[in-house]
Amino acid sequence: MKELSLHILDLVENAIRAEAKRIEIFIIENSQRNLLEISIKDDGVGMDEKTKERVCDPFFSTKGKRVGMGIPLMVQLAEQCGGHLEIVSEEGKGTLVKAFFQRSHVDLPPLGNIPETLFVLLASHPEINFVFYHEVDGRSFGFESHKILEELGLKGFAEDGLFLVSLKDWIAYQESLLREGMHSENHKHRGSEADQGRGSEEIPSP
Amino acid sequence: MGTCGIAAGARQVLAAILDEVVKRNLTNVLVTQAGCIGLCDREPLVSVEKGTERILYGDLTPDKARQIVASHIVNGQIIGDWVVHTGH
Repeated sequence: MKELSLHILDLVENAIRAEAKRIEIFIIENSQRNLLEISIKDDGVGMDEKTKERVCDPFFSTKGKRVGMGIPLMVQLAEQCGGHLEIVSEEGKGTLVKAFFQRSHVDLPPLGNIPETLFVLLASHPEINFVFYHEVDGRSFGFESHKILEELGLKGFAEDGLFLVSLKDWIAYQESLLREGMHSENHKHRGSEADQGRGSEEIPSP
Repeated sequence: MGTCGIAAGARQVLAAILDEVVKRNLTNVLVTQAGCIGLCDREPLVSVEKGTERILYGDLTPDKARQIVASHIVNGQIIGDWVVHTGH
């Protein structure tokens, strides 16, 4: 896949099929440590030990198909880029998939269109609470979809399609500021005064 | 969306359909996702279902998806050249 955001979408689709009600998508970039970390955490049905052992096998699927490519592709990419993949899962509790990459690796694809990825997820699955968090060298941006709906008094984003499109544009704007190293009132900074007290508890932990 | 669909461009197709539905203010249209149905080489696939009629379009691009919204969903005109399968 040409973008990391497509791998993220694929793993989130796994979480959706696992009947998750809350899915956390975390992207942490650290140029000092030359590290990119992507994690998808869900509260779905989880996996038993037997399934967890086989999930990296491309010829194993939990959907009755002959192949299951999502996780094997991510494993391959992470290892190709000087990293690795970790999976923690407990039956009945959920799953955490964490991929680590060397941020400067020449084979690392671009992060890609994160706003569009979030847009299709929010539009298609209003019943799921998506928590998104992106940190670049200590500066971060994030949101929780159900908190936004609650504050707007909406049951789902489909109730107001124009708002959903505006939300996508807002995410794109925040992402571009994050990447360009510019500051926004919506960005938080680790270690700054904003992190103390009210600011720090609003930053979700992976 | 299955892995095959995502790799072939299904996200962009879905985004285009959602965008078109919002732009046209279509309130009687439900947009949902499906997983892999085994026609991986024809992805991205979109199924348009009206009553008992089910039309499956394949090899789509975002631009073709927008045309399907305009032609099939709004005007009821099926775009035959892009149909992979019809059913009831």
